[in-house]
Amino acid sequence: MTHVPLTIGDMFDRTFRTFVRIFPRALPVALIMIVPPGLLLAAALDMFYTSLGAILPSLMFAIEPDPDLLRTLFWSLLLLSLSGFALLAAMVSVRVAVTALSCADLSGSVMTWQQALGRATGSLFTRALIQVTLEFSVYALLFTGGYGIITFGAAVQASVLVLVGFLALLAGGILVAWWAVRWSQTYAVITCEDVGAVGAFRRSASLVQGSWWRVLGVLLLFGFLKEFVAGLITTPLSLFAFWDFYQSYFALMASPETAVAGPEIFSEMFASLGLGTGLVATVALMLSSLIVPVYLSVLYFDLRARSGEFLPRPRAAKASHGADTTTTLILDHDPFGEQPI
Amino acid sequence: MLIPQPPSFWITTRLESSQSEADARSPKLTGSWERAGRSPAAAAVFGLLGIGMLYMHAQSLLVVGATLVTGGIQRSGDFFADLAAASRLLRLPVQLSLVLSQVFFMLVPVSLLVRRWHTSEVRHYLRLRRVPSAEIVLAVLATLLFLPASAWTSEQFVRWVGIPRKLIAIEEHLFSAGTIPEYLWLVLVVAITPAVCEEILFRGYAQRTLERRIGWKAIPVIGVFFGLYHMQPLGLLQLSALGFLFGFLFYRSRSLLPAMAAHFTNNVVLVTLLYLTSNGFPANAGGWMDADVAIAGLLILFPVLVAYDRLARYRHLRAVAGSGRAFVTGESTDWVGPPETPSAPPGGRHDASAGGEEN
Repeated sequence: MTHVPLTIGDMFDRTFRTFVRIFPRALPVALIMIVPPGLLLAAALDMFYTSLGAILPSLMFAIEPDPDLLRTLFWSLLLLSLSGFALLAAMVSVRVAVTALSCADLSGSVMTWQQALGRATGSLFTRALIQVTLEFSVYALLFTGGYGIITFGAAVQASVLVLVGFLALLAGGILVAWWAVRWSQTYAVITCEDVGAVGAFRRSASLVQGSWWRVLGVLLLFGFLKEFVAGLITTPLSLFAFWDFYQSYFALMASPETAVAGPEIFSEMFASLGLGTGLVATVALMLSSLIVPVYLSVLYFDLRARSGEFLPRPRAAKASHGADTTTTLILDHDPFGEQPI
Repeated sequence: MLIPQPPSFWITTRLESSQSEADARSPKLTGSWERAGRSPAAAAVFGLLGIGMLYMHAQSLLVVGATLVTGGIQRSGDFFADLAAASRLLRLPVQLSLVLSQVFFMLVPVSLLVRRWHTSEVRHYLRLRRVPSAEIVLAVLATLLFLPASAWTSEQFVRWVGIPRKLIAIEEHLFSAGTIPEYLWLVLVVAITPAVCEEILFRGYAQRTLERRIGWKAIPVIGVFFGLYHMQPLGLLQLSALGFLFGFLFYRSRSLLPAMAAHFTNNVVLVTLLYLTSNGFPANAGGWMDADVAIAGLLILFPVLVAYDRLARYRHLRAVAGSGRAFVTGESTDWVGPPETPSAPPGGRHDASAGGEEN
């Protein structure tokens, strides 16, 4: 496959074609990796909301809550945290797998879903997880500074410090945006070039160098489109996932007329939120994990083409001997065996 | 060798060469998307998503803007009374923003997109062409026959989830009229504008472009998109079914007018019902549609669609026979030439303007 700098139309076209081609192989990986932690999250959320719903009456009527219920709430929170982390790890692994499938497809190679699954659970996954942890730690640090100053300013009642804190938050936000764009290619770099977690930051930044605004525009455009797709799918799904909640809610609304709703309806509403929230979150995460790596991979090849990495280079050694003066394409990074064109 | 044929219901005429009639002539695909040899399916999907996203955001911003301009309401403490007051206050701004967003963020972008990506013959590409009045009449009749089933399904969902009657009445108040001028204004807002703008986006652009790649399968795909786009989970089933109907009408006649007429009919009937019942019960709230009527409507709908199919097919056969061109029966597409625009040659672009195209 030829790699040349792409227009936005070319990116739409290539993203669509790649997505259609890899989808049958990406979906099994996404199902295998995301569904189990998704179900765990749904169960944890169900446990959490059910116990919260059971505690609610005691909170409403200022009665000492049942210690067993409090214990269940605590365990559900623990389970919620664990399942949340498991789901995030699953998302990283699926992104690695889909990036690998996309890179292979865009390089003209074929990768099976089993091979992609292998990449999603092997060393590439570990590196991607370390990279994501490092990246989000940097973002968290940037925001923590601002929040810390605001909190301290509020505690000592110093308006100037609060203002400084807000300015620090704003500056942190700008820095996060700047770095997020520079580091947007880390998944592709780790997966397609076999680079380490720390090296991926440098390599991604060098790819984005000189195209920052363009990359930002592409990320925003595709991001909005992805969110729109997710919204189209999750809106009807939400209704059915929260069917019991809506029934209780509408019964509550109609209660002045029908007088069927009592205080226990709030407990029912809370109890019905868990499974639905877990289901919708899992589907949204799966959609995101299937779509985002595809357009990021297309962008990755575009950035490489813009950096001149696919330009033909004369083979210096042979040319100097006069044995072969034909121009041959040599790729700096050729993990999937791209053939010279 | 015997080749399995699709059911006769789906068989249509595939032209072997371009026809001389204006309505069958292929538009010259000279736009940037076509010249680059990109996938029509990608154009349909991204065009639909891009314009849909633009429209949704623009409409939301317009409504928020209108809300800020009109100011808030005095809270009385009664939830339904406050909601009804807000509904009265926002009625005109919501209606205006609906018309403006449909025209400027749906209709205009589609025509610009077709001109830029596909062809300068925008009307031709969108299949804005005349058809015999019998096809329009049958399209309207089909919609009228479908309406009872749609209304009955809506009632069941509303009853099932238990939406309070007061809430439905308040929502319907946004699109109900008390006087004849109000009614006529609502016909423009709710019936004419969506019939033109939505049909041009969904059928004229998206389905028509997707048909080039997947033929009749574009009908259910765009039909489901049509249902999802309305962001009304309780209406997803009915709206998707309506999308199938409009898609079928468009696909068979190769003209946007029957689909527009059908869409207009569906919406104008609902507005008229709301107008006629403006002092009575809310049209969606309960028990006015009988299941037997809905089933009877669907049973009569099927032969009407078959008649529509035969009529449209006959018109095409006659047009081809009149032009003296040969025709063959085959796949259910009006595509002339390969089903997909060929890919661009490696490293370059090719001119698709001279290639075989569909009408």
